[in-house]
Amino acid sequence: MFRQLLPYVRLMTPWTWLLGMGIALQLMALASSIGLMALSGWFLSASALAGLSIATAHTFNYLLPSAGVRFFALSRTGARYGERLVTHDATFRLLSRLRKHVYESLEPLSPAQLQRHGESELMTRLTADVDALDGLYLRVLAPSIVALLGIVICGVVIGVFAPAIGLFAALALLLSGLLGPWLAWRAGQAHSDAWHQDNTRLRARLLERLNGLSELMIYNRWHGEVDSLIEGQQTRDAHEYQLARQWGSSQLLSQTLLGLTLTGVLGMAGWAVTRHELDATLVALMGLAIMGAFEAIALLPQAWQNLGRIQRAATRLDDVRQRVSETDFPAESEQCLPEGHRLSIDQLSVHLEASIAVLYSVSLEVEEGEHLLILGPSGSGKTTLFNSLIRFVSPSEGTMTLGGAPLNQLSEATLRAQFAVAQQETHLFAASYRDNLTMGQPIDDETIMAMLDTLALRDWLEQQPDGLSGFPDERGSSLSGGQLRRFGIARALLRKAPIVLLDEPTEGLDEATEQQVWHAIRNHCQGRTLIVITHRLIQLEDFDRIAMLDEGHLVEYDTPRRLLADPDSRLTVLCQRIDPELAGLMRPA
Amino acid sequence: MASNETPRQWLQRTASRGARWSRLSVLAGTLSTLVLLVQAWCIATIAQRMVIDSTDFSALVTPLLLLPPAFIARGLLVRARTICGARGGIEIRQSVRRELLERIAVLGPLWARRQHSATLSNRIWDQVDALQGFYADYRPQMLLCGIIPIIILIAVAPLSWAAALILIATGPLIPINMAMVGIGAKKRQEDQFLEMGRMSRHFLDTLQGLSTLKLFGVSKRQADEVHTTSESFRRRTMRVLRLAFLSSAVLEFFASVSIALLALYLGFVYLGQFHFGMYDHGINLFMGLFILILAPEFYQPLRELGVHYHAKAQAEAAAEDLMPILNRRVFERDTDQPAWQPKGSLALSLEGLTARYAGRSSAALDDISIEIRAQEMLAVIGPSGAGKSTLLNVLMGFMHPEAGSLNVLESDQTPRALIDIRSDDWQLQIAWVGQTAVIVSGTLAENLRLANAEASDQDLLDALEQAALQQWLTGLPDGLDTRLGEGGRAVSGGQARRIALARAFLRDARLVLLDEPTASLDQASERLVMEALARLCKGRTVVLLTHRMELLALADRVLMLDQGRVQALETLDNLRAPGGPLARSVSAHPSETRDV
Repeated sequence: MFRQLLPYVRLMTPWTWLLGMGIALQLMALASSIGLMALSGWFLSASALAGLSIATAHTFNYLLPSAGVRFFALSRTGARYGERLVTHDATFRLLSRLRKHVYESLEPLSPAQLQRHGESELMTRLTADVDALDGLYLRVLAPSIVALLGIVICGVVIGVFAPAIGLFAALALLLSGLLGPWLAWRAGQAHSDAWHQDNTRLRARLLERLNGLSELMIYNRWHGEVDSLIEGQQTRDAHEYQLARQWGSSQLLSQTLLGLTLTGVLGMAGWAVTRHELDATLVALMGLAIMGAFEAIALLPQAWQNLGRIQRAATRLDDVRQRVSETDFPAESEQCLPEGHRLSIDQLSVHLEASIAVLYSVSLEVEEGEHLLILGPSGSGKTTLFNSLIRFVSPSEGTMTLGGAPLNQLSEATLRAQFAVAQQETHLFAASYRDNLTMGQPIDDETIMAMLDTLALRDWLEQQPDGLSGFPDERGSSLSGGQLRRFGIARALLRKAPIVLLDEPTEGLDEATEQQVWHAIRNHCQGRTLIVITHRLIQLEDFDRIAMLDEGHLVEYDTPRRLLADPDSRLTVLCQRIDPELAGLMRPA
Repeated sequence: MASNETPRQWLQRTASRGARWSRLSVLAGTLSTLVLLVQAWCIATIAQRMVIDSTDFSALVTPLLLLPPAFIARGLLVRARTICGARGGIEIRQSVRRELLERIAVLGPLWARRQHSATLSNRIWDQVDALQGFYADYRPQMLLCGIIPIIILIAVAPLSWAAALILIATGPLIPINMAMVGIGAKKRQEDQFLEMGRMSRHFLDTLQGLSTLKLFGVSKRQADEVHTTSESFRRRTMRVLRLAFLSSAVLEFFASVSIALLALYLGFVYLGQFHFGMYDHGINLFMGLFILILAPEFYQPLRELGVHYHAKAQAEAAAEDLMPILNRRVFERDTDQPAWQPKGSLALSLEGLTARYAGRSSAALDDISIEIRAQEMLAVIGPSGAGKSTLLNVLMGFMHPEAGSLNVLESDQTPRALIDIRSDDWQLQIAWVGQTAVIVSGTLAENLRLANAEASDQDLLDALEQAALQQWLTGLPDGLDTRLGEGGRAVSGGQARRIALARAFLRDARLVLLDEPTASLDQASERLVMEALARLCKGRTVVLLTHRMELLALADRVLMLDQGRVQALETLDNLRAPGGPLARSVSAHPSETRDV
């Protein structure tokens, strides 16, 4: 039942002393709290009894108990403060380690494996799961251990005077601390799971509907959508409400059991007093000790509720980690080293799902230093071809070699060193623009500035108050879509790799900038192999060869001159279909 | 709706939507304190009778029998409090979410697109859920902080004014205490909240950028980076926490010290050392224990408030995100226009129409005056940024012109301004096929019925046939009930476009708006779409955005836009005649920018 939590408990071993200290301090705070109330109760009873006659009032030793009361008052404050500091520090240390651990288990997975269909929010969920797991010690283990020990302390304090009553108190407290929360935890799981399912479904639905807002509004369906989303939310919230009811009922059960425990203890103590087996001044002590211990027990239900969340988080993390890496790389010592950089793709087929192929037997040869343009409508398999080269997806058939060495025989470091890639989406890290551009390579600012200049990003940079040292905004990015894309190209071109892959580099740029960007790309890629994919007819003659993809098939592959000379080629037809004069005129003079 | 409302004011104002439950929750909390008085009475009475009165066991029966029902009553009230709090939070969130969703329709798709759908859905979904803790726990608790200590003071004061004084002097009612605990903690708790947020964002950022890290060969190294960053966050957070916990330690200190002071004071009164602070009746053990048992509860509400503090910080952050959506002022159409149901075909007349995007200096459409004739197909061409999409947005009613007029002409009716037509009525007359067709997850039938909820299965089949999809349909395992979209059957770009066309057929609208309906399709799809378009446009007024020659050839007239102005409005032949703006030049230059 708790097996999935074991690896995370094991992560705690390096800080056993710190965690133990946290628990010890928590226990000390609890013991002080019980001690303060119980001792005060006894002190009042004993002094009231002594005060009945003047003689006893004078002989009553009030120094020790009053010193004890003051001590407990201070130790409760001190221990509580220390306990909070230590447990939080320990939790953050664990969190650092947990993050590293999760990162290391995710890193070998290919992006295609991580971002499977319908999992666009996987990363967000993982982050939330890691945050939930950090509560394992702080919110579950520590309070549970402390409550257990608190019950023992309470039993011992009472048991010193009356063993039977002490035993009864401890057992009854244990029952009241465990039964209610445990029942709630068991019964709550079904609702909790249903809530999460509904929540995920509704959120995905909302995102989908927002993407289609224009159409839904045109078709007068938005109000219907709002109603059905709210209806869905009501179903989800009904589970939440049930959880709240159960939580309330478990509190009721705990309180009832506490009431019975207290009644039992006071009744037994009263009985013992009337039979002169117990000092009457201890009655209040026992009652207050139990009320004090309940302070710790009151935390248990929350701990158990958290336990459910943490278990679910651990299960989900395990589920992701179970995805064994589909792409393995040979070790440095076992790899084949490429000779030259001639790329050869032979009969490459890729299936993303079992039945649907995205590439069918594509064969391409790219000589070292050659510039290749891959054209095709969206969905024709261009990006999948790229992803196969960088081994983000695994081909189902066919081979790819680089300089004679099969791509899957290169170590990951060697493979990565061959390619400089700008994907369609540019991810900006929460680091300085400089770090975002160099990506850990030693590149001086002049080189960076020159690169930004050639990609028409100089104006943008000059608007940044901190220049290259500035950070992208925490919310969203301070680069427009077109700027972000050029930033990605700059990042790729700054990387000195022999093969440059650019995915739709000029999408969303105005024509003047597009020309400038092309110019820069060509300049920077002289002598390097360049492969560009696009669905726009651009600068055809600048490329040595053009490959046309359509629905996963390679339909044409030749030099642009020869393709354009053939009146029946797809490229010629495409170029003619879009009236060039029309396009020429449509450009502002 | 004040524009300078603070998040706190908004949270306060919104609380009224669940006020009933919040009041019940506070009431339960208050009653539960009253029950506590009974519990304290029972325990104190037992001790008094045992220690001082030395009665026999039978005198204990009443308080002993009263204890369990008192605890059960307290448990019931705690339960009621939990349930009412949760219920109030749920109702408020449902109401806020509905308002947000309805607001989206008023703000329109143009606005929504600027927000990025992921950000927007995060706000509508997660940020609204982030309000729960505030309304369910924090707010009722805050109110109880003002009620419970006063009840306890009222119970204690008649027994001993000195004890009441000790509580007051160390208590949470003292503004200085409140300020020390409240304001100091607030700033630091907020700082801590911010740090924690940054920390998990950094991790998220790293995970999301994993493929970039891989491509640059630094993904292995990053594991240590994750650890280092997390550790430096820890050090910074701990610096904040050391101070933050100090302010709650102050509260803890006062609570502990006052219990100790009370115990010592009462003990010395019993021993005859102190003679002040009581009334003529003196203080017996019962009164002393009664006061002692109540003392911790005097501080408890404020301590619990601290536990829920993060809920408040979360809710304020959420409110800051939600308020711009809810309070944004927009042009809202008069909703009580008479119904409008055109019978014949429609013509449109634009006069001096000018439209501008918020925050732009130049107009997207600048003084456009044209007629769109009934049943004609008007093609609109121009470079990007010429105002083509803006024109379409104005026609769809998503964007409101800042000057000029747009009149709708029906054959023998008086012209009517678009502004005087209810947007629901107007949109009912529009069919639209855009560059990306929306496929919602659901069955094929559900996807088609978006356009016409009342359509029969036969209507759907007819529309699919018109849109050249019947062959695809026969290949589907469950026919119209086949599930599409996420988790269902994948739909290619060409199929999606034809589903959008089928919707347009089902709509049977007077005005058809087409935005690059054949862009980026494979050859086979493109031919099918062209054929379906020809069928769709017959007998309807059509506005078509394109730069495809084949589509232009279908059009009756061509409107050329440039920088928001009309360059020409002519038949294609006239435009292409020698000397015309589209006159053929000698050679085709292939290196132009166009879509495949």
